[in-house]
Amino acid sequence: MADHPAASTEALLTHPGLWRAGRTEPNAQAISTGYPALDSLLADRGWPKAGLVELLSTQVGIGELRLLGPALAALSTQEQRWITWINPPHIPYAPALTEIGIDIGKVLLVHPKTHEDALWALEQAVKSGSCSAALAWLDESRLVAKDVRRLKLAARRGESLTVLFRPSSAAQRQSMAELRIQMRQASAADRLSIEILKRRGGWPIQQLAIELAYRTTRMPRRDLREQLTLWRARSLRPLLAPAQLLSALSTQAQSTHVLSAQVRSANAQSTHAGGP
Amino acid sequence: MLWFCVELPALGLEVCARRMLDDDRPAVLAQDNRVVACNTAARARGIALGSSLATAHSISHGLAHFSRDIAAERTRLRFLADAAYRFSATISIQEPSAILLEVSGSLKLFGGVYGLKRGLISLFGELGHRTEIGIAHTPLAALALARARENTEFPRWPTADDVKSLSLKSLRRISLHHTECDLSTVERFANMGVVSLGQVFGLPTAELGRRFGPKLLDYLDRLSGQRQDPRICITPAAGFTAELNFLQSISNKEALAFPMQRLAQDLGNWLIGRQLGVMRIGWRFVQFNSQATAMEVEFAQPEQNRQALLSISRLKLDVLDLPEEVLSLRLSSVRLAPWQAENNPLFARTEHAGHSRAELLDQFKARLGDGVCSGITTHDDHSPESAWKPTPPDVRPQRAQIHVHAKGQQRLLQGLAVRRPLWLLDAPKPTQRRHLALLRGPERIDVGWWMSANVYDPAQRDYFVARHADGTQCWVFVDGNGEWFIHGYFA
Repeated sequence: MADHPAASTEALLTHPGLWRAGRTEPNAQAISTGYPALDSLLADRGWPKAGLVELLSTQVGIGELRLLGPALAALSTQEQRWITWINPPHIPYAPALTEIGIDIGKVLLVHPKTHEDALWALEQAVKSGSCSAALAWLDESRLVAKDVRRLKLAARRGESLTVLFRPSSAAQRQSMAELRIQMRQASAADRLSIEILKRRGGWPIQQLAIELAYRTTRMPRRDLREQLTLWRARSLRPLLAPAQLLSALSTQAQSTHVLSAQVRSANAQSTHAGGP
Repeated sequence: MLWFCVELPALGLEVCARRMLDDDRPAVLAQDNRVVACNTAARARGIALGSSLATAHSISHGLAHFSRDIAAERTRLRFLADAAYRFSATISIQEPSAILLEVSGSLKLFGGVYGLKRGLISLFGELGHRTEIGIAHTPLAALALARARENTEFPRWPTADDVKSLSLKSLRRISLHHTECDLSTVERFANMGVVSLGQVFGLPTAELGRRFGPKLLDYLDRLSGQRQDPRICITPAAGFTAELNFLQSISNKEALAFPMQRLAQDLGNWLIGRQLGVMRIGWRFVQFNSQATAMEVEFAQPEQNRQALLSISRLKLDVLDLPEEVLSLRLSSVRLAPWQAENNPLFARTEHAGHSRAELLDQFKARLGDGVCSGITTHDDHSPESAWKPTPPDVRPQRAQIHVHAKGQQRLLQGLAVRRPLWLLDAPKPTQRRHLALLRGPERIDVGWWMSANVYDPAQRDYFVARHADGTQCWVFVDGNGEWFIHGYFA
C-alpha cells in the first residue's frame, strides 16, 4: 500500500525467505546437532532440515557418525521417513546405531553400482520427500559442481537433511552446499576438531573442538597392560599344531609302513576337518 | 429396481482406434466397402456415413480404415463391465454393445441418480468411450431408452413407483426402431400406422398376440415390467490381462510410453473396481516373429495408482533390452493383494508427502535392480559379524523400534558398559600394535572354533577400544597368534 510504507516493510521483514543478521532464534527448519557449542554457531541453531551439508575429512572413521548421531536419532524417532545411506564405505553397525538412539527400522542402505546410479538414487531419495535424511559417499573425481547444485535444490524440495561426505581436498573446490564442515583429528580420544568452511549468516569458524557423544570410558594404562599380559598368557593355545603332530608321529613311525599309512590317514582326516 | 443401461454407440470404431497411437488421426469403420462409423477427426474432414471407402480415402489421405473385430469388441465389453463393477455388483452384458447395471443399492453411495450417471459417464469417458445412458425400471426399457437417447427427468432419490411411472411415460414416446423388434415387425407396424411404443401399448393384447405371435408379447411384458426378466450377472475376472496390437511396429522406447499408459490406465481402473492392488505385474513386448520379451515389475506394497504403475514400469523399461521392433504389447497382473489405503497427514508437511516410503523403494528396485536396497537389524549372536543382519527394507513404518529391539544382546552390552563401533569392517584389517594406543579392554569374544576356517585356529579374540596413530578411534582385536586387526571404527 502506497500510503502505508511501514506496512509493506513489515511484510517484507517477516518474509520467510529473508534472513536478517540479527535473527538467531531457533527455527523449525533445523534440527539440533546435539552439541550446543556447534548449534550456537549454525544459522538456525542446528543442521538444516531441508538443505545440503558437506562433511570433509581426510579419512573415514574420524568421528563423522558420532557428529551426526544425535540429529539422526532425533529424526528417526520423530519422523516416519527413511534415513537413506548411499554407498556407505563400511557396514553401519546395527547394535551401535541402536545404542546411540537411531531407529534402525528407518535405515535404508543403497549400494548402486555406478557413480551415475548413485547420484540418481541420491537425488531421487532426497527429492521424493520420503527421506528425513540422506547420507552419501560419492566418487569425488566424478562429482561436478552442477550435480551438487542439483542436490541442494532437491534437498530443499524434499525437505531432507542431505549430507555429502567428501575428502578434504574438496575444500579447494566451489560448492553450493549451505554448510561445509572440515573435520580433523583432535589431540585426544572422543574429540573432534572441526572448522566451519562455510555457513549461512556468518563468517567461517577456524577451530572448534567438540567432545563427541558415545564416549569410551578410559581405563588406566597400567591396568590395561596388566590385563593384556594376564589374558594372553592364560589363553588356551592348542597343545600341538598339525605340522608338529605329523612330525612327532612320523619320527616314531619311521620304520613301519603300517604306521606311516596311519599317519597318512590322520593327515587326510586333519585336512578334511580343517577344510573350509 | 433401478436399471442403468450404458450403451456404447461407437464401440466398434473405438476398439479398433485404440490400436492407433494418436487420437487425431482420422479413422473409419467400414463394412461391405461402406463407411459405417467415423471418428471426430474423420467427420471434421467431411467424411460422411454411408460413403464408399474409395471416396473416404480420396477425401483424407492419412485415413485409417478398419473392419469390425467382433472378438475384440466382446473382450472390451467384458473389460468395461469389470471396470463398472465399482458402481454395482449386478452387472450384465447385453451384446453387442451395452452394459446393464442394477443400481438401487448404490444410489446413496454415489449421490443419487445424477451422481451415479456422472460417475459412469466420466469413467467411460476416461477409458475412451462415448456413452448413452438410459435409466428405467426394467433392463430392456433402460436399453431402449438409451438407444433412443431419451432423457427422462427423475428426482434425485426416486422411489420405485416414480421410476416405473416416469419410465413408462418415456417409453411411450420412443420409436419402434429403438426396440428389440426385428425390422419386419417394425415395418408391419408402420404399415398399420403404428410407429411409437405408446401406440403399441394402446392396442389390445389378445389381437397383438394373434397377429405378431407370443414372442412380441413376451418382449412387451418384459419391457414394461409385467413379467420378470432375470439376467445373468458377470463374475469379475480373477486377474487382469490386456493386449494392444499396434498398427505399425514401434522401434523406440519413447513411443512405447503412450500404449503403456493406456494399459496402465486400464489396469488402474480394473484394480479400483476390485479393491485390489498389484504386487507384481508383467509386461510382454512381442516382436514380428512372435518372440516376446518379458518384463516383470515388482512393488513393495500393493499398488493401485496408475501413475505409480506407469512410472515404475518406465524406470524398469529404461534398463531393459528391447527387441528392435515391437508389434504388440500385453499387460497382466501377476500377483494381486487386497488394497489398503495409506493414511496421509491431513496437513501435508511437505509438498511431496504423498510420495510414500514404498514408492521410493520401487523406484530404486526398478532402476538399480534387486538386492541393491536393504535395511538392517540386530541379531542375537555373540560374534560381532553376526550381531547384525541385512533385512528387506521395512515398508510399513512402525513406531520407534528401539524398545522392541532392546534384546538380549543389547541389554548385555549395556550391563557390561562395553562399546560397539558405528562402522564395522567387512573383513578385519591387519594392523600393528605399535600404531595403537589402547583405551579400554579387553573383551574376549569366542567366535567358535567350529565356525572358523581352520580347526586349530583359536577363534578367540580379545577386543579393545584403541586410538590409531591416524587419529581414528577403532575397535581392534588381537587373535590367538598375537596378531592385531582393526574390526571397526567409532566414527
